[in-house]
Amino acid sequence: MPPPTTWELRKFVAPEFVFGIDARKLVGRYARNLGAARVLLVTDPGVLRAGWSEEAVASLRDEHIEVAQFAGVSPNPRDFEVMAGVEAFRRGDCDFIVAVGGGSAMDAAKGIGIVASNGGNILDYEGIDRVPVPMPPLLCIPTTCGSSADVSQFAIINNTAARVKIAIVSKALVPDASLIDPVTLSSLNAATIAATGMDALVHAVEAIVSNASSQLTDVHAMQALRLLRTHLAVAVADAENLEARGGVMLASLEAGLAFSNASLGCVHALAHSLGGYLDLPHGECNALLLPHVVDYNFASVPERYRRLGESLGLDFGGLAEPEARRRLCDHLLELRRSLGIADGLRARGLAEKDIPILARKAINDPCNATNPRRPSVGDLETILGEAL
Amino acid sequence: MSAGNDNGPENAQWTQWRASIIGLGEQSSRKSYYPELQRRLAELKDTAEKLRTVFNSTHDAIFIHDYEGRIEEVNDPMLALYRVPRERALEFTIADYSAPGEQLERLPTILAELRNGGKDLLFEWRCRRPLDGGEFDVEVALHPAFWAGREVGVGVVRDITERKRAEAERRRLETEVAQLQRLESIGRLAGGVAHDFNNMLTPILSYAIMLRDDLPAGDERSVDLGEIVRSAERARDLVRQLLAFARRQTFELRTLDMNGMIRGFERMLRRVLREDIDLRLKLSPAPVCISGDIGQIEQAVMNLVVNAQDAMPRGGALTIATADYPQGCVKSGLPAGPHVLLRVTDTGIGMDAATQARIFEPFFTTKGMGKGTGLGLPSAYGIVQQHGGNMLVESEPGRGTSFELYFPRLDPDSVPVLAAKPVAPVEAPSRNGTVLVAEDQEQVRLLVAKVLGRSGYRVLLAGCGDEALALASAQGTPVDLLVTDVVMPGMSGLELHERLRRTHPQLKVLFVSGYASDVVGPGVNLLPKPFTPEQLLARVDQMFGD
Repeated sequence: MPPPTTWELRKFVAPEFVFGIDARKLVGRYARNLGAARVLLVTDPGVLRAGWSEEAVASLRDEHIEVAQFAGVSPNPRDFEVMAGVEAFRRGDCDFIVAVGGGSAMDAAKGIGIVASNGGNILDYEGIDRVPVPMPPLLCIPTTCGSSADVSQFAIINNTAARVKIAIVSKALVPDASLIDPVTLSSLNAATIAATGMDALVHAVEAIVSNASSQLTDVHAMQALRLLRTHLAVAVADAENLEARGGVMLASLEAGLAFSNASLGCVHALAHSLGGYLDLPHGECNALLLPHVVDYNFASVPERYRRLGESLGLDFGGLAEPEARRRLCDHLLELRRSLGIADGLRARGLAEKDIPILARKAINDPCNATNPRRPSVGDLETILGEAL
Repeated sequence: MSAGNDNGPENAQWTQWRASIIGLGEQSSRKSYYPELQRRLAELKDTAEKLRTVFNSTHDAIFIHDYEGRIEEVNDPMLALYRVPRERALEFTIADYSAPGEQLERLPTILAELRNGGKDLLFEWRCRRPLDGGEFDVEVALHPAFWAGREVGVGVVRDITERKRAEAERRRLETEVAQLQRLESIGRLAGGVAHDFNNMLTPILSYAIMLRDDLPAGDERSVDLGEIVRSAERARDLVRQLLAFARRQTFELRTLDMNGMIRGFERMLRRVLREDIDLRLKLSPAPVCISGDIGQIEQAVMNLVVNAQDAMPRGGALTIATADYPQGCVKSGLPAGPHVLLRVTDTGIGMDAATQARIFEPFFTTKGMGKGTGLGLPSAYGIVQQHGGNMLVESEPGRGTSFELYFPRLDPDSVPVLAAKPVAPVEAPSRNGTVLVAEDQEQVRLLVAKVLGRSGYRVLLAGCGDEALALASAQGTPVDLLVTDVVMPGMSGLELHERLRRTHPQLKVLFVSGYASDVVGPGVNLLPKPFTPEQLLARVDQMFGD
């Protein structure tokens, strides 16, 4: 018999999803079966250029579904972009949302859905469980391999006035279905694969050490790390390697399933603060912060860090805790550098004087609640200082 | 997210966040859209019910129809207006709800105009109830709209039967008023002409008679003078009728029972009527009394009877009826109060509306040249009007004519019915009294002087009231009789009489008048112009005899 705490209550939420080559082509059928008549297709200019949204529009129209397109989404989607999307949804008298793109397009689509159903402004719904009415049906086609917005209950929106990214966390944000197609990764450049891949890696790591982790989330998180260890470097190096890029995408999916249910930690709390402040790619922020948060957290759950390190291929032998911690941190540092994410935050425009501001913003991020070690503002300042 | 102190949120907050993230918070489970859907459906239903209430609460009928004229929806007032049950209302088309005829040919054009013009149309229409065939007038406002995604017209239909009726009534009243005004002005003209004519006829007639009487027997010039007298008498009769129409007849008003009057008049009427005319009397059981001049009323009835006979060239029935309206009769057009009706009905050829509008005008006749004077109905009309009554006509071509004469009723109990005044036989008078004659018309004045002087009376002549007063005061012997015109420049005959009585308390008076609507009370001695020398002399003799 496992000890009673092992069976503390846990829930596992995941949308219906289809993973594999040409999954994206099912969009028309899925929209039809979910009752779509007039679809708002949310995408961004890059995806538009790559042709993925055009393909989706054709598939929808084949099912006699009307489509209005909204491509006004930038990286780190902004609150006003969401509201413009709501306007497009209403103008088109839409009843369904399809998101084609990375985390930005999918988070914007979630924001549009929330306001379409509940009214008001997207910033009204910041926080956990604050979306009263479910949104219109949402179908996601991810075209990156990091955010996992296609399976998660999270949407991150940039509050442009406060220059901070807010987190909206609600089961209402889990899409109705996701079509996850590795073929879409062929249009990504190496840097994006690297950043989104590192994002998936941080999702897995934080899910594993989360104080809300479970055996179900562990399975997916560990598998995500193993897949990344095998495929990430190859996928970054070789755009044509569908085998590797598919592996990274599956890793992203599994990491997403894990963190959506176990939640995250200080890396994400700080990255949300930093991303809103400097408008940096989310995956890159995570990669820059991860080694320093691991260093800070390690002593709280050393066994878990050792296990996840082993999933990444490390052998801790009989290493004592400080050495094991050092080895893991060095490995993570080395990994991101090998993927082309060099230097620190200072090189990306952060100054010492910014640190207290960012730390104060970050302390209120709900991701801290599942960090294995409860941070203070001072702790967060220290971590940011080390990441400079 | 609520912020705690500098070191971040409180413990409880963190615990709650964690529980929620794991998915175990109060609001963490996935929610169904179904309750929201139900709420919105209820809201929609409520809105629909409210709109339906409005739809069915209008005073007007509303149709929703397609451009083929098929009905999609109607409201409750439509069912009431067209008297169709709801389950059958959609069976019929717009054409079925319209009266047949020329307007139906315009229907396709109207619908096309509505569809292509995209603007509201407003027009009047004749409708038909499809189940009982009843027709009525409406005003239609058509509005192009969409209904369940299809092009339709929304027709708002207002019943204007009452408005139409009121309009027709107003037009009828306007026509009536215009007609009355026309008759009034013609009357004034005729009255003025007649008055002057009487003054001219008086000497013509009188001198011709005197000349004729003065000629020795067998003088053939007496035949010529006889022609002058006859013509002058015909002219006098014509003028009398004109005066009757102009309501300027000299009246002797007495309490008069119409029933008694008709019964007394019946034999005379039967003599006048042809044998193929069946005269019927339908008199009210009780007496119906008015204040009237029996001669004038008889003249009016005679004119109507003659008119009725002429309207029945192949014979028919002529009915004279009387009726009593103690509570009055709105139709009469008279002020409120008890009325008496005298109705003369024939079964003759009748008249169309245009003819009816003009029959009371003098010299308007349908009888053809040479037949009738064109004064019978106008004079009857004037007589009734002068009695404070009103005369109406109802007729249709081929369906006969009915003239209705309404009079204000006298209460038969409160007023004693006076018998006609018997004319006392006049003894041969001594003719030695003094007569003061006041008359502004010189010819008449001289005529009166000649007739009376020739007969032995002593005559004083005055051209006006002041002159008469001067003569009377200068005269040593008292004046016995004043013969005066009623209307004179300056002092009237009445005023002259009043002033003379102060110095001559025993003075008698005979008024002479061309017309006398302005005259005098009952019992006043009045001699209408034109008069013959015999008539003048007889009246003067009679006054000296009294």
